[in-house]
Amino acid sequence: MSETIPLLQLENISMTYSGTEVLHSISLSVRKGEFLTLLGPSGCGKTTTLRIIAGLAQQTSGRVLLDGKDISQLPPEKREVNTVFQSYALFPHMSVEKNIAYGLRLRRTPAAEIKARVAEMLSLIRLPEYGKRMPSELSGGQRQRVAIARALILRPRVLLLDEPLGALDLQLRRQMQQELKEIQKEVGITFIYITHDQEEALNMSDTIAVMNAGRFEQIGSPSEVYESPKTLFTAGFIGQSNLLECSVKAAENGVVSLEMDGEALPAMPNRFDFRAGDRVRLVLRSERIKCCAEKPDGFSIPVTLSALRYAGSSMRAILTTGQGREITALGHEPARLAGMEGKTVYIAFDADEACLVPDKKDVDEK
Amino acid sequence: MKRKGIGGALYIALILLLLYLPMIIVVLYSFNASTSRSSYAFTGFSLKNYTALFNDTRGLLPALGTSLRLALYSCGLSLVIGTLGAVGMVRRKFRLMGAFENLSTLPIMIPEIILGMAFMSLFSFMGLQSGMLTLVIAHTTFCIPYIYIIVKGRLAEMDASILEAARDLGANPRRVFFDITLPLITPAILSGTMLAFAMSMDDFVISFFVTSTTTTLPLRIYSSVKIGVPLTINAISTLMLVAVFLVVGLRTLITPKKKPTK
Repeated sequence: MSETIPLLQLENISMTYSGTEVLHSISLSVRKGEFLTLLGPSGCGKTTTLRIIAGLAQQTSGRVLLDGKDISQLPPEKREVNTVFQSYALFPHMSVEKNIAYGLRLRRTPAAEIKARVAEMLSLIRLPEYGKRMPSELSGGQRQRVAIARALILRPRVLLLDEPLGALDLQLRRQMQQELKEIQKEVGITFIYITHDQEEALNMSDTIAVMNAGRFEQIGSPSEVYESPKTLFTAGFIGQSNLLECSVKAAENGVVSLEMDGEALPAMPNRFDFRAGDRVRLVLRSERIKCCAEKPDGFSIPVTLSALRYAGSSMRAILTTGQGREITALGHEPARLAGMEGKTVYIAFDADEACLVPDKKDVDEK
Repeated sequence: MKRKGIGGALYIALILLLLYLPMIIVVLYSFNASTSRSSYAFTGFSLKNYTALFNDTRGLLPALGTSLRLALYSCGLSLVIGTLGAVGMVRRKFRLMGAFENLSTLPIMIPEIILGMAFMSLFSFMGLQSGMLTLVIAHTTFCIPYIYIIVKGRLAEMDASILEAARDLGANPRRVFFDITLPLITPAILSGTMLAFAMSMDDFVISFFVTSTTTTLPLRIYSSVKIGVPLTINAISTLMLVAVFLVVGLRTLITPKKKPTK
């Protein structure tokens, strides 16, 4: 197999449901062994994308390629991909063992081999004693693990997971994230994972594809989509950010100078070919804002401290600029402002810890 | 919410008594030693009505046999038609779906007497000899909706992703049906069939119109009670009550218990 051919490719996939286009010509390529997450709000088309890959839905146009071969016309049972469903979808009338063995039984695998591989799967999902139980006798987390084993036992080229942890409580979800990641490393199978939980996506993925309204907003590594969002949507959806409207005063030599409410801001690198007069948004991560009680040396913005709230491991400061913009700072920094409620304080940020994205209106016009 | 108190218990007891009193009387009188057809005095315990029944002086047993065969044929036919119909229709959407739904369950709503007359007219128009065949056709018609409705209800509440999961794991649509769908709807099929069976056994009005020579049990009973109730009728009614209780018990056993959801 050539290194240059990605394992799975989506080519200009479009999907129309009863007159409404839910996927707008999306393309994606996935490497062997990659953990790729489709991240987006509900209704953004991520489940539809997964179903098209699985063959459970038929795209209106475009192709799905596995190892460079077009599998668009194959029924789901002929595709070497398997799915872990959001609702687990275990067969309620079959024991755990029978559920896991079902795919192998369909392939007429010899009984001895089925037995060995089921046992292997049960130990992989750490439920070796549960083979004879019925799905109704399992907890949510255990059902989820059985669903994963049932799909993995067929050694699919790609495993598709549709919000597999969505129904679990926070603690169990954290633990399962860890286990899933370990399982993926152990079996070395490509995972395409759906979630609307950005923390889950950042924790687990090699690559995150941020989806919104039937399009990919950005595809990149967790640190890329977090540190250098390319669109306003990505900047707002991932992490806690302040998205401040600014305008470009001048753009020269790859550097833009900015103005917010008439005040000059530090110069920033020009990532998007901005021109003078463009409206942009300054993405300021809440946890990267420096808070000072006294005016510091260098650049700073005077703000009023409207509220200071205790948030467990961190503090949250609600700050208001002279023009009435609200800015949220999070982390240890706000602790410096203790007792300053209602007074003027100063915030600052490093230019390389902030970034610019085009304002949505500009994008729509282009 | 749970209400305790003697008032509630009494109320329930009263309602149950109201429901079951007639049946209790029938059971009681099946053991009556009296020979009078018109007097309802209980003169003493006896099994003579049962002996008379099995000696068959009134042709009740052959009629029971006819009824059982009729119920078996018509339920067998409606089981296949109703189940296949439900499986085929459950995930389908088309413009006149609602109309079709109503139309297919209409035989339950239409007054039996009209259905009976309609069948009579149809069969005489077609020149069909009234007998077992006409009975089976008529009974199948009103049995199908019971099975169709119950099976379709079960299918509709089934998580569709279970079927998709089977496809995804490599099952073609035929395997999905036999491995997943059928085992999961079997209790519903049995449940619907038992209901249909009871309806067929019980039917009087429609049978009355579509048969002349072949006599079902309800027809036979009707024709022998014109002057007072012969006590053998009480005996056969008691036996049928016992049978019904057994069937209901069986149905409760095979219906999956609702598990407490977490």
